[in-house]
Amino acid sequence: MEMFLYYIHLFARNVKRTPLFFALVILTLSIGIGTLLANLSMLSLMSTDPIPGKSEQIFNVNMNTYAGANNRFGSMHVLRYSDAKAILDSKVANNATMHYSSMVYSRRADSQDLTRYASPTRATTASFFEVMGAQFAHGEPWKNEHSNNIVIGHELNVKLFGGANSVGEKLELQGKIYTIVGVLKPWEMRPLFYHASEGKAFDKTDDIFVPIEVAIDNNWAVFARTMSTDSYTTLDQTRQINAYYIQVFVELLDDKQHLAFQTFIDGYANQLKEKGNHRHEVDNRLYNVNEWLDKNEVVNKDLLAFTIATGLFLLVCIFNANSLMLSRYQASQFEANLRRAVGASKKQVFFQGVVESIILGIICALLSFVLAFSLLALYRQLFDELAPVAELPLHMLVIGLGVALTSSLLSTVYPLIQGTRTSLASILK
Amino acid sequence: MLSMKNISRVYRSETIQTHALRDFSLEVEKGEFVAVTGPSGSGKSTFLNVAGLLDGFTQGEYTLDGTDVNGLSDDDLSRLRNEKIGFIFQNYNLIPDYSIFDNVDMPLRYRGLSAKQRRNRIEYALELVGLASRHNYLPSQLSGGQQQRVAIARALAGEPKILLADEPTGNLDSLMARQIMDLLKEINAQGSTIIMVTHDPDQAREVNRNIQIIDGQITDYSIYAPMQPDSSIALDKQQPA
Repeated sequence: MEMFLYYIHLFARNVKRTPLFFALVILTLSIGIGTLLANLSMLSLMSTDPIPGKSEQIFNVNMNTYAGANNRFGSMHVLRYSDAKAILDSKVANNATMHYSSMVYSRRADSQDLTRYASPTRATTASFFEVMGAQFAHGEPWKNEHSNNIVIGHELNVKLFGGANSVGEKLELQGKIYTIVGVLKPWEMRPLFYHASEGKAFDKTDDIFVPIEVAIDNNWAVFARTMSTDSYTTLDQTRQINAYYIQVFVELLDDKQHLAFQTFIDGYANQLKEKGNHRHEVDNRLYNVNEWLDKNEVVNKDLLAFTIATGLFLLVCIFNANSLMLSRYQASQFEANLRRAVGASKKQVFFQGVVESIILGIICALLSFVLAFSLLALYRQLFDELAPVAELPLHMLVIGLGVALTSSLLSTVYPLIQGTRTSLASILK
Repeated sequence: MLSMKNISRVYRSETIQTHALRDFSLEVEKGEFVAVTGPSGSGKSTFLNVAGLLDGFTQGEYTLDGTDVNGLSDDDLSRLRNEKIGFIFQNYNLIPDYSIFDNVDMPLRYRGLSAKQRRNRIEYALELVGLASRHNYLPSQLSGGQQQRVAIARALAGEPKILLADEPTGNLDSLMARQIMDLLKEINAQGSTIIMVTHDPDQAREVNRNIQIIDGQITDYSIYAPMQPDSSIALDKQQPA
């Protein structure tokens, strides 16, 4: 321990002796590490498994049911209400849900304040919560898909009810009264795989969850991709026409269920075709969560390329630091040899260098965290599409420390080995 | 104390072999003060480097204070250097931005001594060389002779069995050289074994024995002042712990 403290003391003396040199090495490595860390953090958030343990069992259902003559879309993730309902009613999948995205204005029904909050809303089924793994803090999902019962998220509950148990309370949504039957625990899902399309993959989870039948009946607008080959004026008219706006996710626990579901949906599509309700060829596709995220290019390809480039840039920084270290060790060869002459072993001189390298690595890590934070703040300002993921998660700080220590050691090891190989007699006179 | 038998040191390059030491044998007794002389390139420094374990040897046997150094690991050689050998270089080899105290402290750091033990030894060694009051001076604030005294203090602080001095007065004027020589003789009189490489024949005559090296071999022994059998007083017995 005493030698370790001595090595720290020697490091401090060395810094005092050549501050500019150390500043240069620290800056060189920190810039490389900070840049890589910022990009790696975003990439890490983009490629996180949003629902570990279930991501291989939940599938987005795509069907080729477009009714127009010119089918440029192929198999689509937005389905007709009738098809989505048929899938849910079939009970072939272990569990299934359908949903669309909406936006309503909400206020407490008993509030004197008339302020209404714009609330991202998910029109869905009660099964949604179980399929997506949402946990309830209070209450439970609605039991009747046609009731005016709703579930709200943690943030809205805090905003409207100060975080208290609001089950039984009432909200006014779009001029009608709805009863809260469930409140979710804080729920963060990144990427938001259940709505990975239309650039919504890094939106927050919704504030309000409402039975889809009620939302359709009340003509709550669709805030996502919608297509239709038939005309309609209100959403409740879409139940029997070629309007495409509903996403369906099914839970299939194993290959057997997967095969059964694929067989079912292919059979269903063929029946439609026979009835003249499936204009183009049958092409039903199931994407598990990660496949679905890949298909929607949630991981930004440009960012991926840029991250690889910053990795190479870090290598260049390490080479530069290595070169600087080599020249420094050559310059301080006299002292190292003197230490060996008076009793330090090669191991001790090497260990002294390693301690110095570790301290350098820690300093570089701290500085690179500051640089990465700054860079991510800049990204948030400059690139809207990257803003939701321009964060430095805790695990990336640990990785950053590891990268910094590795970079620092890589920069030091070769010069150290070279230094300890020098003949003592040739230097000291 | 030091026994070399048929030591050879050969430097090989791609085209030539140079015999820096050939068939070199020497015995140095405890408490002896031996001068090594010879022309430039004769092998004096190579001998001192081999003796000080700063350089290896190609063949032969070398025993230092009862330890056969042949085949020892770097760790063992370092420990031997630290515990048994004190070096005094011609260029002093002090670290310029370290205080006198820190320079003398350096070898003790690798000995595993407590801070108090180190302080005691450093103060004793600096007092011995007459620099007790200059702990915090930098080498550049001292004269050449004083710097060499610091180097001697550094060598003595480790309580070595043998001091190896490579032309310790080579960079000093005659007055300072005289003072250093007197200091070395005083240290020797207290029981330390010293081997000193020198170009100065007068200095060589002041010690117990002078050996002359030419072409890597001892060509002449001159005994000027045989050791007194009872003059050896171990330095470490006089120093505080």
